[in-house]
Amino acid sequence: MSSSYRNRIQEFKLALSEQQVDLKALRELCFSGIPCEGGIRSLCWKILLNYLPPDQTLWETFLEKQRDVYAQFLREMIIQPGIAKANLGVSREDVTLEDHPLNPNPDSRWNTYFKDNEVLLQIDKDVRRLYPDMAFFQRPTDFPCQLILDPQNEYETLRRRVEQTTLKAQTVNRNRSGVTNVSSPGKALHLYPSNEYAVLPNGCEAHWEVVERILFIYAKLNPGIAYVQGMNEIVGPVYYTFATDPNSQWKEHAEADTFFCFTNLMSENRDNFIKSLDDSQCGITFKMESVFSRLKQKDTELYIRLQEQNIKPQYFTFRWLTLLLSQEFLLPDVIRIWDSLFSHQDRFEFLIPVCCAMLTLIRDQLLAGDFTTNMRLLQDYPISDVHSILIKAKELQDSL
Amino acid sequence: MRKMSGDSELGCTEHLFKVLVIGDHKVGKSSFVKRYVRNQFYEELKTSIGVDFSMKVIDWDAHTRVRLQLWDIAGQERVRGLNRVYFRGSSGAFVVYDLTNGSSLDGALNWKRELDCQVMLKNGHPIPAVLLANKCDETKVSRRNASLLEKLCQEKGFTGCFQTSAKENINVDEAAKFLVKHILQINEESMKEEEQKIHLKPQTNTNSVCC
Repeated sequence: MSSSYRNRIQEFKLALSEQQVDLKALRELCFSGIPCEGGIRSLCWKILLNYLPPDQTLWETFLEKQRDVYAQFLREMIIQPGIAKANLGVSREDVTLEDHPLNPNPDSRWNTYFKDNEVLLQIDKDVRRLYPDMAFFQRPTDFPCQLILDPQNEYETLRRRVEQTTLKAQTVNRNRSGVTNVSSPGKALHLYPSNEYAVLPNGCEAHWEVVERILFIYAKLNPGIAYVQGMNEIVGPVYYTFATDPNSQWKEHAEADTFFCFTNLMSENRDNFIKSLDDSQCGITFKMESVFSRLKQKDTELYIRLQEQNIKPQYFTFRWLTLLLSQEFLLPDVIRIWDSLFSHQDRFEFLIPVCCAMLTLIRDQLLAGDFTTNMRLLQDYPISDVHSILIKAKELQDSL
Repeated sequence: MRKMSGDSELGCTEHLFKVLVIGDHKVGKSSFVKRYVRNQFYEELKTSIGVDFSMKVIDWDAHTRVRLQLWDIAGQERVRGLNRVYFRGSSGAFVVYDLTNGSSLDGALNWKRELDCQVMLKNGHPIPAVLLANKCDETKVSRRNASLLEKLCQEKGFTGCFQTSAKENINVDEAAKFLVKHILQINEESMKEEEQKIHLKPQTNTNSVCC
C-alpha cells in the first residue's frame, strides 16, 4: 500500500469520525473514488444515498429501526401470504366458502397471489443470471435470513413458490390461438440445467436469493412500477458492496440496508424505468438526446460523423443510462464509477458527461469506422480504464 | 432505407440488410443470434436491455455477398416505446417464441402486428418475417399442433415458420437462409420495378420532392 493511498484512507477515516459528518466534504472525497478497505465504501454509500443521516449519534437507533421495518415487510409480504397459502391448501372447506383460486373478485387473496407470482417469476429468471461471470452471487450467504428459514414455520417460501409455479405453468399452458403446449412436465424440474444453478440445501441461501427477496419486496411496495428488467443490475453492485463489508454486524444486515438504499436510488432513477414518462423531460428519451447534444457542443466533428452514419443515441445509450453503466464494465469498475455518480451533487446529471466522455475517448476509432464497426464498439465498449473516463467526464463538465 | 447494394469486385454484388430479431422476453432471441453468428451457445446469457447488434456475412453464391445486420431487440414490455427507432429501415425479421411457453406465441403475434405497423416495403406490403418456434429440443410438437401452426403462420402473414433450437443447433441456418432468400427476391423485384419505372416515364420524375 503506497503512502499516498494510506493518507487517503486516513482522510476518509477523519471525515467519517466527525460527529456531524460534513456532507459536502465527504462528497468531494468520494468523488475521486472510495477506498475498499475497512468497509469505508459501504459506509459512505449509505450516507451518500441519504440512508444514514449526517449525525453519527443517530446511526445505531436509526439502523435498528430500519432493519425492524424491513423484517416487518418480510412478515407481511412473504411469511403471512405463505402461511395463508399453506392453510388454504389444507382446510378445503374454508376455501370454497370464502376465497378460492378461481375467485374473480379483484380483492381475492388468491388473485393477488397469482399476480405476485408473475412478478416473482420474472425476477427469478433475471437474478439467477446476475453477474454470471462471478461466483459471488451463486455462493451461500453467511447470514441467511433466519426469519424466513425458521424451521418452526411451515409455510411457502419464495423458493418453493417459484418451483411450484413453474411446475404449474408447464402443464396448464394453452395458447389463445388453440395451439396447446405439449412439453413434458418432467422437464420443469430441470428448469436451469446447468449445475451452477442448483438450489442450495435447505437452511442455506445463495446471495442471488437475497437479491430476489429485495426486489420482490420493492415490487410489492411500489406497485406502480413493480419490477422492471434491469433493476436487478442496479441492486447487484449495492448488495455486493454491503454484503462484503468486513464489519460483520453491518454485513449481517446487508439485505435490509440494500433494500432502503436501493429504494432511495430508485426514487431518483425510477423515471428511466417508467414507460409513460419516456418522452417527457425527465424520461429516458430526453436523457439519451442530451448525450448527443452535449457531444455536439464538445466534439462537433464526431457528432456529425455519428449523425451521418445514422447512429442514434437510442442504439446504445438506452442501456448505458438506465443501468447506470453497470453492464458496460466489470463489477469493480462499475463500483468505482458509482462512487463518482453517487457523490456528485446532481447525482445522475453527471452520467451525461460520463457517456459523452466515453464517446470522445474513442473518437479516432469512431471517425475511422463504418456503421457496423462503430455499433460494435459502442455495444462492447473497448476501454476498461474507468479513471481516464471519469477524468475526461469531469473535464467536459467543468468546461461548460 | 438502410439497404445498400453495390458492385464490389468484378461482377460481384454486395447487399446489406437490416434484420430484426423480436419476440417476448426469454424466448431465446439472443441465443438464436449467438448460435447463428458465432455458432456458440450459453446456458446463462444476460438479459438484453435495449438492443444488441451483430453482423453476419454470407457468401450467398459465386457473385453475391450478403451482410446481415442483426438487431436483437430486448423483449421486455418496457422497451416497446423505442421500437419505432429500432425498427426503421429493416428488410426482414425473425419473430421468435418459446415452444415451452404458450403465451409467448401470443406475444409473437403482437410483435408481428407491431412490426407491420411500423415498417413496410415500398409497395406497402409487409416485410418478410419468419416465425421461429424456438427450444424445440425441450418439447415435441404433435402433428396437430404443427399443422395449426402452419395455418396460423399463413393467416398472420408470416413468410414461413421453423421449429428451431439454438441449443442443439436445429434449423438455425435453414431459417436464416429462408429469410435471406426472400429478402433477396424482394430486393430483385423492387429493382426491376424501379427500372421499369425509369423506362416508362423517363421525364415525369423530376418534380418529386426529396426530404
